[in-house]
Amino acid sequence: MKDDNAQKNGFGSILKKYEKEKALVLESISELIVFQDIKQNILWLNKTAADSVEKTQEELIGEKCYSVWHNSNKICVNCPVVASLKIGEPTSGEISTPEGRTFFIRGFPVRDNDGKIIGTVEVARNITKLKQTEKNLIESEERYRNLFESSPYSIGIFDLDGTLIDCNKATGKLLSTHNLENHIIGKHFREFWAYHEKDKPNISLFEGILNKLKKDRETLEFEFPINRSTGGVLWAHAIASLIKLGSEERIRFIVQDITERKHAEQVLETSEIKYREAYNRIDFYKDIFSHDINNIFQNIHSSVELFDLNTEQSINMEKNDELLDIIREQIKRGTNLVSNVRRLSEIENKDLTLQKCEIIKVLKKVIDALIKVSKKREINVQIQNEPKEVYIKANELLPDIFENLLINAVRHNQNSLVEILIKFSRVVKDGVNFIKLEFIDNGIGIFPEMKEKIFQRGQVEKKDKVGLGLGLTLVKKIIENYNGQIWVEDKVAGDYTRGSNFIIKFPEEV
Amino acid sequence: MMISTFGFTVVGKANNGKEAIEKYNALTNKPDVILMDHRMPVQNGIDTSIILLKLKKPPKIIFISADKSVKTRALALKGLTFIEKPFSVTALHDEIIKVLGKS
Repeated sequence: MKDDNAQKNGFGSILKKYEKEKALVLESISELIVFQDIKQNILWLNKTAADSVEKTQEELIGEKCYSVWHNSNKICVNCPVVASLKIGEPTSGEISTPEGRTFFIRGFPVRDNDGKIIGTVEVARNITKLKQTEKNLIESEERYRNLFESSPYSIGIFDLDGTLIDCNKATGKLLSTHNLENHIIGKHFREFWAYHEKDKPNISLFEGILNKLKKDRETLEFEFPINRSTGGVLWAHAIASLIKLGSEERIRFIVQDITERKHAEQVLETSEIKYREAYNRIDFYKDIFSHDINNIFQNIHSSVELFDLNTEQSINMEKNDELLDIIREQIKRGTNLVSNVRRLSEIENKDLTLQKCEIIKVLKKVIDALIKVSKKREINVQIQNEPKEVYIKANELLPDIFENLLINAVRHNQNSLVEILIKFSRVVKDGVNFIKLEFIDNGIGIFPEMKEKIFQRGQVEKKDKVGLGLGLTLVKKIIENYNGQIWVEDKVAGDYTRGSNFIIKFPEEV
Repeated sequence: MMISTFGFTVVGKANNGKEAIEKYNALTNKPDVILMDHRMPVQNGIDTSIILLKLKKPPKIIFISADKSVKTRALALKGLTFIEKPFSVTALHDEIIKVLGKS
């Protein structure tokens, strides 16, 4: 008996020791551990569990689990501990308490030696902070996504190889597509950039941007043309930055459509160029006009002076008629100059409407007028291969072409007989029928260096290297308006002194 | 006509500066004076005068122009005189006489 007691006392102390060790282990665990019977009565709990409701362990023994943590008289819906009792297997799940704490709970059924379930061990972890962080993250992601999607600017995220991995709806709008996944995502940056083949850079554009971003670690702003998926090109202003998304480095592009601004700039630039050109032209014409008219007045003035001198002194009277002719000629030149300046201004300031015109009649009328006003000169005008009728698209300025060419042929001719041959022919170029007119004269000819320049007065020619008259500038401008061409050759190739051949080509109207 | 009225003989006329130099060099009987315009095709009066004034025996040049800026440039060349347009024929006559008197 004594031995039995002694034996009992021995087991008892061992048992106590184990109990103490078990309690020590369970108490040192930071998770909540609650042992309860099948009616959810708490049989044992660790200090962490009691601390979670600010009570002592002793106070909670015998209490209902749902009453302690949920302040309720009913079993919690979806309680994993209850579920583990029902199905007889460990179960887990999340439960939120009325005051807003969230626990991750695992329930382990406890069986007796016969396998009958006699209770459960509940192991719970307070995951409130984790859940809050997760919630914050989701909200932050939502906020970011919301900002991303509601941005009026296109935002695109590229990986460092230049592939688009994400973009917002504005990007679809910018590129005229709703199907971002199939039309945009996954494309390389180079597929968006609408550069001309001739401007193709040696280094990949994206590589260039990436290198600069990495070097400067600052945002990079630039403008570039983009291919629209529906065709056409738009202009964009981009702000590129290196960003970190998670552990990955990406490039974010914020892109704004500046096509309208770009077009407005181009229009402004063009109109500024046009305005400057017009200003320069006016300035040039003003200069030429004042110079030429000054010369004309000088010639008239000198002729009048000589006339008076001859008359006063009754000398060289036979030359007075010649002086009067000079005065008349100078007046004609002045009138012609004024008319040409006016015509040039008309051509450059408005769009001239063209209509079908017959040119033979116009030409003959001009020839008749020339002979009438040049009575003092002997003029012989011949027309070779004269067609019955020839039509071109022209307007009221057509006579000015013939008038200027014929007047020049007479004026710049020192022969006693002015000979002008007008040759007609037809040529076909690129399937277009042209009527070709050649005005061949026996005048003083045109220097080789001057053959192109004589048509360019009023353009870029230096003021001090030009001669008198704006006639050929006007002629060229009218002909170009008619989609024609004019150039000059020597009458005898290589010897300009024998005279000139002004050649004109007009598209023929059938 | 203006020149011949005063009894001077015109030995040559040129339509531009380049032709003027060619003609001047080709003449056996060189002119006593050249009346030089400025605005001419191919080569202007200033450039032509520069070349002529560099000759071993430079000609006398009366430069005639209405351009005020040209007057300064022309007179800076030294060795020529200048008449501003518009001028009277008697002024030209007097200038020719003056220039010839200097020789």
